[in-house]
Amino acid sequence: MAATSMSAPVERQAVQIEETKRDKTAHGEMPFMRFLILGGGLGLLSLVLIRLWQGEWWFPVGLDATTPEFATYWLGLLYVEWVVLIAAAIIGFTAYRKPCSTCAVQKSELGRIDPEHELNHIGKLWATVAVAAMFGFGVSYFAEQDASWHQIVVRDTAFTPSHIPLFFYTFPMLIIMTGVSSWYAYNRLHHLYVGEGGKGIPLCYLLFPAGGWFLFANVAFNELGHSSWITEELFVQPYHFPFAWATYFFFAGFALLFKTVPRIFENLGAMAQQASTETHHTA
Amino acid sequence: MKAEELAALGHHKMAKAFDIILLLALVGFFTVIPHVSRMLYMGDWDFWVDWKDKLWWPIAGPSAALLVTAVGHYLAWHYLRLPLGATFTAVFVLVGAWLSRIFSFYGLEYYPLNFVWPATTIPMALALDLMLLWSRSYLATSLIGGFLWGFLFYPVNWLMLMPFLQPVTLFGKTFTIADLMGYYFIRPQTPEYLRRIDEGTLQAFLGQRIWISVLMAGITCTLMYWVGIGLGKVLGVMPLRKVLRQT
Repeated sequence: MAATSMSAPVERQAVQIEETKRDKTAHGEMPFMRFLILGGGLGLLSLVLIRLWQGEWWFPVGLDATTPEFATYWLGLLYVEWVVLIAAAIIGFTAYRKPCSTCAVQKSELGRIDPEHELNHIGKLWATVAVAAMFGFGVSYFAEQDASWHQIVVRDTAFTPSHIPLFFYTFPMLIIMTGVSSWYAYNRLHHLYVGEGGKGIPLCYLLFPAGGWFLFANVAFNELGHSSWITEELFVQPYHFPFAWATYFFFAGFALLFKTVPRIFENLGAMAQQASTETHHTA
Repeated sequence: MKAEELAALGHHKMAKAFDIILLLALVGFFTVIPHVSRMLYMGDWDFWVDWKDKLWWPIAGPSAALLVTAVGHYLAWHYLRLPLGATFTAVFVLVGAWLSRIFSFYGLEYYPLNFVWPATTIPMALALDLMLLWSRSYLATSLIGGFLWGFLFYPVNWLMLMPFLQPVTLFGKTFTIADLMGYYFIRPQTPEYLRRIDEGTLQAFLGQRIWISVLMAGITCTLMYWVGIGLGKVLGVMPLRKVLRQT
């Protein structure tokens, strides 16, 4: 008898949760694993395609920046990269420009966010960081490739076949993806960083994208230095050190991720408890 | 939450998904950060076999490599209590370096791989992680693990370098095989300065000279370990708590 009387509010709450879950599909976001596979897959594909393009046109039309072929094949690649960058920035920042409406509905109707729904948000945040990390992998690959290229050809332009993917694709993409991570955390999970109703900007929101920005900022100093004082041929030289310092800011990404870890366990625990209550009720 | 409950939650489908994402993020960032750091501080010594000298490479190489490896070592211990951070970093930085050597240096510019192989730090990373596991102390790890990192760098990599230090005579001149390879693969930046160093006072120490460099590397790395720990603390942990208040 006691079990029956206890089950009525639980059942009501379960119905409410189901309703808000249906609401989630109406206003919902892409599940985080799908986002990871799609975002990571497209990003990786773009890096592989650039490398294949380099393999094809590296020596045939990449040696002299004054030729029309260079403009066609290498500046053409540059313009395609810019289109991709603008599209990624617009999609990334507009998709998450407002707080989640489902979270607001759940908070007003249930007094809290559904654990599974919030876990999807946390997973999405982690996925944006992982996609950013993949572009970081691209940065390290193309940066060392640049070192090898400058042993072959003395530079005659800032837009060399190795700089085009490095400075003008992977660096800006890192700014965009790390910025999207912080933007997503700000608009979806801010309560985990500053507490319910809290205000302020956590330092990790700023430091994480700062790494990408400092990388790009040093491009200006680097190009000025190479065009004025020391050529590129020595890779271990002072203009390059700030690139290394800039990457250290990516460690702030770990603060961004690990701040959410206690909530992941809380939500998983709540989901496990909810499942066991439902099983008990059915039995 | 009790440890058993936490362990049970770890088997949840979503928990597994989070594990995968964290691993991908760690692989990405612990490739890019140490790889970029290493290529910009010790790059030329690491890229070319004829740059691998007895004065600068044994000191600059391990110091540059340890800086960010120590951050990985610290963050893995601080956040996850895993004494695996240094090894993880050392493995993935080597993967990143080999991908670059195979697909860029060899794949695009046709330098032979035995001319451009990267130095390894995996054995020293294992020593560093083991020291932390046994001692549970950053101080002990810096004094013993950090010293071993610098001290072992040259002996470990010497196994790969040794064949290229064999003498060869050509046109009446004696070179090492590494030098000869360097003359065949002409680059804008060749290590002429290394030969000038070879004429310096360090030459007077004859067979002891490498051990002097290696000793200096050990001491440098003992200190560099703390630079890495500080970097991890300031940029990887401190932002977790700091919130800039809006005025």
